[in-house]
Amino acid sequence: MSVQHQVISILTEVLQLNSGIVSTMTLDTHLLGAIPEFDSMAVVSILTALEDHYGFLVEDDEIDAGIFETIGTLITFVEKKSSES
Amino acid sequence: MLQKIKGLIRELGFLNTILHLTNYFFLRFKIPFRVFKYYFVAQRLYEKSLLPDRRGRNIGISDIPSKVKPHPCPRPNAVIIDRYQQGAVCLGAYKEHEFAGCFWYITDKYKEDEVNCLYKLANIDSAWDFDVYVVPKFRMSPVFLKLWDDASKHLIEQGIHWSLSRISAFNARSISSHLRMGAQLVGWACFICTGSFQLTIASIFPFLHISFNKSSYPVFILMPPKN
Repeated sequence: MSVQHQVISILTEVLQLNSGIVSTMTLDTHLLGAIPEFDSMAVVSILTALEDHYGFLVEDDEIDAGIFETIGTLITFVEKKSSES
Repeated sequence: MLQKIKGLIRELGFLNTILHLTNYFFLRFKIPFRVFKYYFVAQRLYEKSLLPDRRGRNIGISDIPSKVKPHPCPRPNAVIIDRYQQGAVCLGAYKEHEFAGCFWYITDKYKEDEVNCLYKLANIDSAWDFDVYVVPKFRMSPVFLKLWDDASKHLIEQGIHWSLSRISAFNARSISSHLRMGAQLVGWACFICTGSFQLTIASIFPFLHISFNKSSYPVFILMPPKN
């Protein structure tokens, strides 16, 4: 499974998104401001799920709204963290 | 435009969308009428943190006394003074000494500052929380959860196990966040205001209230759900 599919799968599970939203997701799909469920609580849950899945650690100071702008920016962040660990 | 309205109906429901658009119409065309609708929600407080242990360690929470000037909460000075005069407590979140947000609560009654009404808490194990503010640059950080966790512990130490609040029925994001944190709906109220006239329709006592001046207002006695 590609990183894109893995990240979308994690988002779907954590945010309990319906299949209609998930099927239309692309790299350009906006997260912040576009998905009502996407708030600071969701961010913490998503980061925990990503840490568990990929085995990296994200420090509080690394958390930035830019990471969660789109699916693409989140995947870039995951790939960067994965390559560091 | 139609898509936007359809989206609103999906998020808020048909009636709330109509009320929201009516209020938008009044604002847009500078008609001196306003429509507000609030959901009253109750949230059980738990000692167990929502934030994982290793997060939020560099965020400190402390009581902000009324004498602090200027007050870091970005509200007009008169509003801040009024809150403290009503007996409210403000807990501030600081990330390495930088103000990051605050949480206001009161344990007896609170006079609403957006519409003309009073909230009274029926039980001594309840608090009323309002204006939970997070500085924009910290909105995706753990600040909010740290503030909520520490405020919960602080209230539980005082024997308070429920926090009640009102959320706008026109704010889908806030409703969604509250529900995911376990908030339970305990009532709603709708206000149509113009000048000092206010028509209130509510799901809880007094159900219907009409005021023609500021000294007359509905009093909502709020309590957590019985289950």
